[in-house]
This record gives sequence, C-alpha cells and structure tokens, in this order.
Amino acid sequence: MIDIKIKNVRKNFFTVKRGKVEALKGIDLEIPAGKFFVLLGPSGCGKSTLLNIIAGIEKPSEGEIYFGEKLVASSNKKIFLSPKERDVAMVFQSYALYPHLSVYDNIAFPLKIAKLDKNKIDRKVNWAADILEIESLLGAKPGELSGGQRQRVALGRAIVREPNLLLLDEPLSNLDALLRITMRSELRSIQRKLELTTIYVTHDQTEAMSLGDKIAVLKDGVVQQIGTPEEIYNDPINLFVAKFIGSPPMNILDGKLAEKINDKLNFLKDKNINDVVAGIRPEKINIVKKDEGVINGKLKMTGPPGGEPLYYLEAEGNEILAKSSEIGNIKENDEVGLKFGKDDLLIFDREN
Amino acid sequence: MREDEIIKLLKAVGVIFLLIFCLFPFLWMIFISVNKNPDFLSPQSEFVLTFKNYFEVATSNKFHLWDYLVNSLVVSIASAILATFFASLSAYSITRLRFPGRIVIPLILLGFSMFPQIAIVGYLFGMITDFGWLNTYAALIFPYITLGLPLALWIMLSYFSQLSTELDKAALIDGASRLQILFKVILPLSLPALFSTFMLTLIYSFNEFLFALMLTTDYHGRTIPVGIALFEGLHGQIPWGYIMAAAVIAVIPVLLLIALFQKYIIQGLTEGAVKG
Ligand SMILES: Nc1ncnc2c1ncn2[C@@H]1O[C@H](COP(=O)(O)OP(=O)(O)OP(=O)(O)O)[C@@H](O)[C@H]1O
Ligand SMILES: [Mg+2]
Repeated sequence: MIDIKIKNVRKNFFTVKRGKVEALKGIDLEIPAGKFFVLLGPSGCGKSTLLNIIAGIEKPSEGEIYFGEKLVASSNKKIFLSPKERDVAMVFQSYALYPHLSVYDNIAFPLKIAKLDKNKIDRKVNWAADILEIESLLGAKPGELSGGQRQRVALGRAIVREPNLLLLDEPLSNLDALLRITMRSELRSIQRKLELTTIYVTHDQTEAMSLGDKIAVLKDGVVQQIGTPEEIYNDPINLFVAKFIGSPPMNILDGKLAEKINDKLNFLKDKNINDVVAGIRPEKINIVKKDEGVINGKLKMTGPPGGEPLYYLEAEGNEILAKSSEIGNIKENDEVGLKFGKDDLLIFDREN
Repeated sequence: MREDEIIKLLKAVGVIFLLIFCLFPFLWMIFISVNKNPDFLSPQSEFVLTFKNYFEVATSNKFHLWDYLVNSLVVSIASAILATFFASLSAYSITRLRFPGRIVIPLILLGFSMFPQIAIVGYLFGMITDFGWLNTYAALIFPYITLGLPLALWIMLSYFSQLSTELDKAALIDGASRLQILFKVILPLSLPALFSTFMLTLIYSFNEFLFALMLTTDYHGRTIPVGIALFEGLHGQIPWGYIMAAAVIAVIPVLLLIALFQKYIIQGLTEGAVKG
C-alpha cells in the first residue's frame, strides 16, 4: 500500500504530421493508499498517457511524481525510475499476454525475471491462480483461452508480485456486457482483499461509478473534477462532467427556460441568460397532469418495452428525458406536466 | 465455367513454364554429370550413363570436394548466424528505442548494399592481407556478414515493426531489461523471420564467388563455388563432368536445410511483407 502524488505533470508528443501534441496539460492528483482510483474520460483525453507516465513507461515532459515520500519522476531533477524500480504492475487493454508461454509461465514471468527460487515461484503462481480461479488453465497457451480467461491471466500476472501499485488500462473493454459486470465485481473484491492501491482507466462512466472509491474526470489533458462517485454525480462541476456522467444522460435546458423555473438565476446578475444552461437528471423528474408540474411538456415517445420505462418529452424547445410517471396511461402527444424540486436544477456555464 | 477453365489453363501453363525455366539448368547439370562424354555446349554425340564423375569427385584427393564443402558450410552458417543476430539487435533498437538517426540508418545500409562488390574488392584484399587473414574462414565470414546485413535488417525490421509494442511494455513492467525482452519475448515470437533471414543470408554466402576467389588461395579456405570453378582437367580441357557432379553434390546440403525450414521461411516472408 502506497499513496501516489502527481504534481503538475505535462506531456507533449512531437509528431511529424500533427506537430506538437499536448496530451497532458498540467495534471495534479493525489491517489490515496489502498484505494480504487478511476481515471475517467472520453477517447483521446490522455488517460493512457497519464497511466504510462505513472508506470514509468513514458517520461513526463514536465512535473513530478511521488510514490509515498519517494520521488520517482521529475523533469527538473532529471529523475526517472524504471517500472521495475517503482514496483508497479499493469494490465493492458489487449492483455498483452506472452503468446509463446503457457498460462503458468505468463504468471511466473515477473517472478522469474526477479530471480525468485522455483518453490517460491510455484507457491505464488498457485496463490494467484487460486484467487482468480484459473488453476485448471495453468497448462494452456493464451491462444486457447476465452477473453474472460485471458483477462484473469493478465490480472494474475499483475497481482502475483504483490506490487506497490496496480494499474489497469481499460481491462474490461474487450469483454461482452455480462462478463464485464461479473469481472467488475470480482476485480473490486480482489482489490479490497489485497488492499492494493489501484488506478483504473476507463471511458465507461458506469464502470467508473460502480468501481471507484474516487474518480478523476479528464478532458483534453485537463482534470475537470475529482471526487467520490456521489459527489461527481450529484454535484458535477461543469457541463462536460454533467453530460458525461449518468445514464441516461442529464437533461439540458436552455437559459431562458431555466430562468423561468429557477429564481437562483436572478442572482447571477452578471451573466447573460444565453451564456448559461441548466441540467436536471432524468430520475428527478416525475410526469404529472398538465399544469400540476413546474413546467408543461408534450410526450414524444416512450420506451423501451420491457425495460425500465423512459419518457421522451419536449418542453419549450428542449428535449427532456424522464424516468417516472404518476399518470397510468399516457400516450404520445399528450400534454403533461413535469414535476421536480427546483433545487435539483443545476446551473452551468454554456460551453462552446 | 469457361472463364474458370481459362484461368486454370493459364495457371497450368504458367507453372509449367516456371518449372522448366528454373529446373532446366539443374536437370541439364545432372544430365551432363552422369554422361560418359560430357560436353557442356556442343551437341551430345551419344549418351552413356555413368556415375564415374561422382565417384571420382567424391573420392579423389586432388579435388578436395569435401574440404570445399566444409569450408562453405562453416563460412556461410557462421556468417548467417552472426548477420541474423546483429540484424535482430539493430532491428529491435530501431523499432523500439528512440534515438536520433533511427530512420536513416536502414536507408544508408540499403544504399551500401547497392555498392558494386567489385569496387571494394581491391581494398578488401589489402585489408585482409594486413590482418593476416588471407585463406582463413575469418577472411570470408566478416565480409559476408556485411553483405548479408542489409537484407537481414530489412526483413527483421518489417517483422518487428508489426509486433505490438504492448508486449514490450508488459515485459518492461514485469521488470525485464531490453535485452531480456528481446531474448525472452520478441525473438521466440519471431522464429519465422529468423529462419528466413538465416536461410537467405546463408544461401547468399554459400553462392558468393568474387570475394571467395580473391581472399582464399587453396583448399584450406576456398569455398565450393570457387573450388569447382578451378577444377583442372587434362590438357587444359574443362572437366564438365566433374564440375557438374560436384555442383550437384554441393546443392544437396542447402536443399536439405531449405526443406527443413521451408514451412517457416514462406510464412516469414509473407508475414513480413503483407501486413507491414
Ligand atoms: N506516442 C504518441 N505520439 C504522438 N501522439 C500521441 C502518442 N501517444 C498518445 N498520443 C496522443 O495523445 C493524446 C492522448 O492519447 P491517449 O492514448 O493517452 O488517450 P486515451 O485517453 O487513452 O484514449 P483511449 O480511450 O482512446 O485509449 C491523443 O491525442 C493521442 O493522439
Ligand atoms: Mg487509452
């Protein structure tokens, strides 16, 4: 168990075609010891780059990284420890198992490199295989395994060393939906059992919300918000985070409608109404009879059959999703009321 | 259906033409080697089957056939192994490490390989003489490594560049050094490319004539192409029968090696070329 501090880390790539690419633009993070920390963000926002820098595969262009009290990377002091010296383990999106080695040898690989004696290696490999329930696969080659099995082997190779820090780069994205959910909870329970400081990269907000003790939301190489899943869900700091988190996504109402509903806006005297929007989560909205809610709207569509009901509405030019209805039998094009607490409305600056 | 048949016919004709084109000289060689009155160029007066040429070439001491063959095998296997080894090392660093000039080095090497051999042979002779290597294996092994390296490097480059770098990263994380990564992960996965590189450089060295002619003086260092070319007949005649018999014998070890590795070689060549 170890805590990680990342101070003002920047990373620039220089490419022939695109010139200078600023992948990370000054990242500050503190990852608490023994916790499950999630880096969440859309594709291309720099998650893998940050993870590689923490691992010691890439050098930061600027900034410092501490493992506990130890400085492991610093651009000024020209310090850069290798992954080996940092004692980190990592699971890759593609698993990156060694195709020519058996499952046993894959898991044993880091131990053999570390020159542990045979008995010890054997004990550790069996311990990891036992936790991950892959004892019966130890003789197989990676090519013979299913996606879920490969994933476990990759995880086995990572935990067998009992590392300082476990890094996971979208390890579940190649699995089918069902397996992803089971692996998610397994991953979580293994992490708890071993109390491993873990950094988990994903672009899937559901995954982030269900796994993370803490989440950092990234966009274009900048940290947008750091917090527990609840904080990020209930109190998103800007429109990007608000829209990125939550499924179905948050409703966005334009400034004029927001002002009509919520007198909070009256206090934002220096803001032009056109510069702000309001957000409200679909589950905070209840459909009631016309004129009984805060605003009126029209039902466009319901769906999906069988699943949890979802109501697609329109109110004063805004598309709105709602999750519950007091009216038993509503049809498309019915005029209805939308009821919600005015405090559930969140105000954001409009983004370009 | 008609189109199918035409394609089939074209394929058959193509294959037959190719076979005749490639095999004819070889068959002609065998034909002359078993003829009692061998003459390479003039029409054969009569054909009388005999294995005398083979017997004499293989047993008579004056031909030194087995010395030449052993020299050839030692020189070409040693240079092929070393060229493949150095090519792997450089291809790994060029594809995996960032250092200035890694793009131009393979191009420069390619440029060197277009340099006519004859232009350097005089200087090379002087150098090898100064080293005191004349008529030794070293005199041929080192030049052959140089000759084989560009081709070897390019094959290994195209193969390594298509192996995912995630494996390298994984091994780095697992604590392996760059050399350990090369030997424990990358090379075991590159056996097809290694085999084809090895075979191609080996064949190149096995057939090389000019350097072997200049840098060796007798059967202690001479390789088989030169050895055979310098066979002497009675009264200054060219002993075609012996030459052809010796050539047929010399082809056998290479043929055996190719048969052994054929599966890997073809795989290696196409894999390097198609996906890269
Ligand atoms: N080696 C590199 N050379 C040049 N640019 C790079 C390199 N690696 C990453 N980048 C750029 O840096 C940015 C961030 O890339 P990164 O791989 O970290 O994104 P990501 O958040 O992991 O995306 P994804 O979810 O798709 O994996 C991208 O614009 C990418 O093109
Ligand atoms: Mg990524």
